[in-house]
Amino acid sequence: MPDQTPTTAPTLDTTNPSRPATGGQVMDIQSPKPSTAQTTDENSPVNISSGGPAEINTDSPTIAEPPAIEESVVESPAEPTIETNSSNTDTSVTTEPTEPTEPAADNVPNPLAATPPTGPKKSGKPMLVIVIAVVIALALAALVVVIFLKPKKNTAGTTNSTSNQTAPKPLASPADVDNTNKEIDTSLSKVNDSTDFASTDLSDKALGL
Amino acid sequence: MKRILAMGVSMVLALPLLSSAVVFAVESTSTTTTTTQTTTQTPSVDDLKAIQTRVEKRKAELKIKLSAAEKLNLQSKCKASQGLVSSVRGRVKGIETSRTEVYNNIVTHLTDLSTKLKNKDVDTQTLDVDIAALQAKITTFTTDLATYKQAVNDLADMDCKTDPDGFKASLQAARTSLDTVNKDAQAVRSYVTDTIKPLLKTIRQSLDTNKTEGNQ
Repeated sequence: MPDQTPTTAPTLDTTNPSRPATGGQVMDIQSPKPSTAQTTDENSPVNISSGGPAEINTDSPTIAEPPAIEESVVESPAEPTIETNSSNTDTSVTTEPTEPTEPAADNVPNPLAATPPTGPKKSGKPMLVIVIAVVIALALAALVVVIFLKPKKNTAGTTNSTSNQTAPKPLASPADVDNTNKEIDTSLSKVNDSTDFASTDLSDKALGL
Repeated sequence: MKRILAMGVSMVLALPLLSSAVVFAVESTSTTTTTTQTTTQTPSVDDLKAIQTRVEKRKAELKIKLSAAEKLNLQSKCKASQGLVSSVRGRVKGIETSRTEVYNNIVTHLTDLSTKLKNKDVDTQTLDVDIAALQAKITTFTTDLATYKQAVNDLADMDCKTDPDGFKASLQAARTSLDTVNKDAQAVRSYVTDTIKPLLKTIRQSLDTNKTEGNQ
């Protein structure tokens, strides 16, 4: 939207000869790049007629450039629509966004030519990401398999071996004998032979025979 | 295209996670299957054949021959008695577990003490012999307990109405095994009480003597 107001304003300025200075800015707005804008300022007949200095005509030796300027002028047919749009602002809003983009693509081939190479460069990154992801996935899968197939006895054996290496040999003391005696009494008190293996369990009376 | 690549990458990354989940699921299912196998006990055809073979062997060994009246009496009551035998079977399982734990605990403590005594250059020959004798008695007890458990299982699972003679023979075999196991358990207890504990008392006195001599 901000591009529309400047384009319409210069065309209105060209109709008014009271503003010669703005006539040079008309071409600046039509071409977004300043380099092309300068050339259009020098060669545009509208500028000369609008009161541009004669010195500009002496700069004409740069004849090679006028075709490009003419192209820009030829492409400007979009502008008549803009001028007509000055009367009908509603239609200009719908038509302008599509039309200016096409000439801009034609006028500046170099920047657009620079962008296509970025496409293949970006396509290489996903392949790298996929390769890395596959490698990570295979590593994780291998890790899972190793953990699943890893025998648990090995870990127990290693811990026992390390504990045997570090722990000193325990020596017997009277307290150890007392503890053993207590443990034996405690263990034997947990079982009762008379109740566990009573002959009455399988008697005819107990079985209802 | 990018979406397809992203989906492929995500699937590849999710593969290890899924595989790990499958691994853990397999492990958990294996444990659950073992628990269910222990809880459910229905004798298969092979088990029934093995039971019948053992019952026939017992009948031959004990020469059981019931009269017609005894057979009728037993056939009318054996099914109900088999339910009571099943409760005895459950008790025997618990006794087997507790006895194994108790006896292993005793042997482990005695073995640890023997090791510590060896580290202190104390003569443990007598203690080691006694430990070996105790282990032999425990092994005898375990074997007889397995025989008793087998007899009780056969008594509970056999077809008593079809073969009342076999039921009577299995019942007598179970009673004999019960008596044997009871004697084995008493033998273990008496050996620990009458042999092991006096020896431990002697060892303690010797350690006290060595300690006082060392202090002097």
